[in-house]
Amino acid sequence: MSNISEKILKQREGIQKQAYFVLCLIIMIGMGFFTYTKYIEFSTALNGVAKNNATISVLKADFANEQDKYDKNMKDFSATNVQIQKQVEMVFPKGDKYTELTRDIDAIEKELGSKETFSISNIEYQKPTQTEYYSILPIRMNIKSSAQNFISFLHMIENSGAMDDQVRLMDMSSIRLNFDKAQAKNAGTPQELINFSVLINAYFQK
Amino acid sequence: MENSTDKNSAPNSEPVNPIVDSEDLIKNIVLSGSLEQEGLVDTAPELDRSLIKDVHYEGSALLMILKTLFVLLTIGSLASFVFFTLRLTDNLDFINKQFNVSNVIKELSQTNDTIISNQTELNFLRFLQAQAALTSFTYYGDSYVKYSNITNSLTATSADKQFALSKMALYRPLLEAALINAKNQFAKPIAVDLVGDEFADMMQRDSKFKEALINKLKTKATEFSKGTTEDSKIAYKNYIQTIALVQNDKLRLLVTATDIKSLDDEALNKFIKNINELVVNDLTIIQKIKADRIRWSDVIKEIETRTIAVDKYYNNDYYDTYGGIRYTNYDFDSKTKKITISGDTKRFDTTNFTVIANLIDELNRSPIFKDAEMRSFSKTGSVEEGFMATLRLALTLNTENLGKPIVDKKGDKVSPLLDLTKSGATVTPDAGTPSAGTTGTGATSGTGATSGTGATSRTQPAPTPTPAPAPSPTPSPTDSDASSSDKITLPTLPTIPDKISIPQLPSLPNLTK
Repeated sequence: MSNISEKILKQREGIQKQAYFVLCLIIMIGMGFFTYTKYIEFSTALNGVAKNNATISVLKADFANEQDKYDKNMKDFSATNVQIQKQVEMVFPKGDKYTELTRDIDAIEKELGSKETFSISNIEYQKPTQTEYYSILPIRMNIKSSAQNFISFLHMIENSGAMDDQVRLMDMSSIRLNFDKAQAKNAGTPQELINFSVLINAYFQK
Repeated sequence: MENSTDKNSAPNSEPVNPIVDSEDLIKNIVLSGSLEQEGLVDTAPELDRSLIKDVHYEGSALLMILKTLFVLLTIGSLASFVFFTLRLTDNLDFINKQFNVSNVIKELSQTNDTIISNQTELNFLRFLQAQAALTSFTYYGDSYVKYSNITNSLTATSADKQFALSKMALYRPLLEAALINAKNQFAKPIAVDLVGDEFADMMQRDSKFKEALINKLKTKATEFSKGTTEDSKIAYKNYIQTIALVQNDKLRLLVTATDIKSLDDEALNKFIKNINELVVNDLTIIQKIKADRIRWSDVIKEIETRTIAVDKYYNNDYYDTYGGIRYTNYDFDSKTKKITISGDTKRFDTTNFTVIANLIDELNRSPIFKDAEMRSFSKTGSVEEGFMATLRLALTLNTENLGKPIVDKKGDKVSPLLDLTKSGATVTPDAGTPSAGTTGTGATSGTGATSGTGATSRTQPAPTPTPAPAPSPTPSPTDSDASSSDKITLPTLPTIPDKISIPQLPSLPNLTK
């Protein structure tokens, strides 16, 4: 009897051993894999955090240095920028500002006319047009001028819009000119006059 | 059989002990197998555990070890799971908070965000400085280009050109400093290394930093967008332009790749124009408009020069006396780039048509003109009074070559037309110093603006009258080996003396009156 009982118990024990062994093996493999992969992830993350913290320290130091440079540079630039904006406003204003332009044109006429003939008989502001970045105010003018003043006028338009001159930015769209002989500005001094009709574009900000 | 029958009839009378009564058991099995209505095995035998109660068996040590190991492994697994779940995920966040345990992944993500934020702050300062530097560059470039254009102008005087050169020398160091400043800002990396799979791709990583910077600039711009003060408007515009700068990879590449100190004046002029093409701000818009402008004074000058190649005494007021070419009307159109010239030619030897044909060929030789033509010829007159032919030329501007410096075959920059302007009075700016606004005006004395009339500055003694010579064949610019895309080779023109010695002529009647 006791032999049989012992046999049964041994048999059960064998089964248990096998079961525990298998379970231990499964857990060991599963846990090992899980722990290993998670450890790698954890370790990488930890190193990453350490590396990031080091980078943050460097960036903070860089930022402090850059802030000093920025303060210095922008202090200089601010003055320049204000000057630029003022000059830009003069040569490339916001809005067509045709009244100011009219006064400018009058001043040009006065300046050129003081030496030789230069007379603007009419100014006609046409409807402004827009492009992607700027607007255009077309102006048609009829002018009677000496040859020299004609070229001076062309140069004024060609060189307009320079920051250091602060002349309104303009461009000659078309010119039609006729040479008119036998006119005289001063008595006894024959002078060729040019009658020209110009279409000028004056530019302004959108 | 009876026994068996009895037993079958009372199967549940008493529990059968298979060990004690094995013979009966066998019998039972045999009997039950013979009966079709009964199963092979009866109800499961019950083990009388009391029988083995007293059996003492000592378990093996291996089993104990395995059991212990199992327990340990289970606890370990659980611990590992909990540990890594706590440190690597948010699943047990409440425990993290309770015990103040940090989540490493979260920490990593936070440090990545901190780096992006810190780097963005750094980029913000750098790009604002770069924007300021480029604004300064385009500002100084505006003046530099203007003076550079004067040095290339056909109508500027030597004094104007000298003045322009001195100004260019003044602006160059400012341009260099501004560009080097911008270059230094762009040379610094916009992004730094981040830890994480999503940042493994450099392009994606850089995009993330760029996006963060743009968002910051947009936020800043929004702060000033509704401001009414001038400072607010300037600040708003500055931020918007800086956003465009961040997005402009091509510009940053151009700036970082250029060694400005190695550029000569012409290359620097070109470089400034390239920068103006890429940067969008008020200054560059102005520059672009200027770059597209046609210098009509140069065009008129070129017409005059080409006319002089055909009519040597053109512009010397001998038209009535000795004939030649006289223009009465110009028509220029910037949009169509078309030019129409009207006038007439006068000859005493009946070769008016040859003069016109020569003029057409000469104009077509000019690098800035093309398609000059006149298909209908007619003339009237007599040998005594001279023959007059009407001139009506249509030509087109070759805009590709407009504004480019004209060079001779050796590659030296020349403006041979200047020689023609040396005689006669000059109009100079009021102060006597060449002024930027009126630069070049002084060069226009007696120039082609008065084409064919010679009304201005005609104080020289008259030259020995000779018929207008036929133009010397001049090489086409396309034949030149120096005809690169950037430079125009000017054909050899007839030599015109600085001052024409004109002997006193007897007074002749003015035939045109």
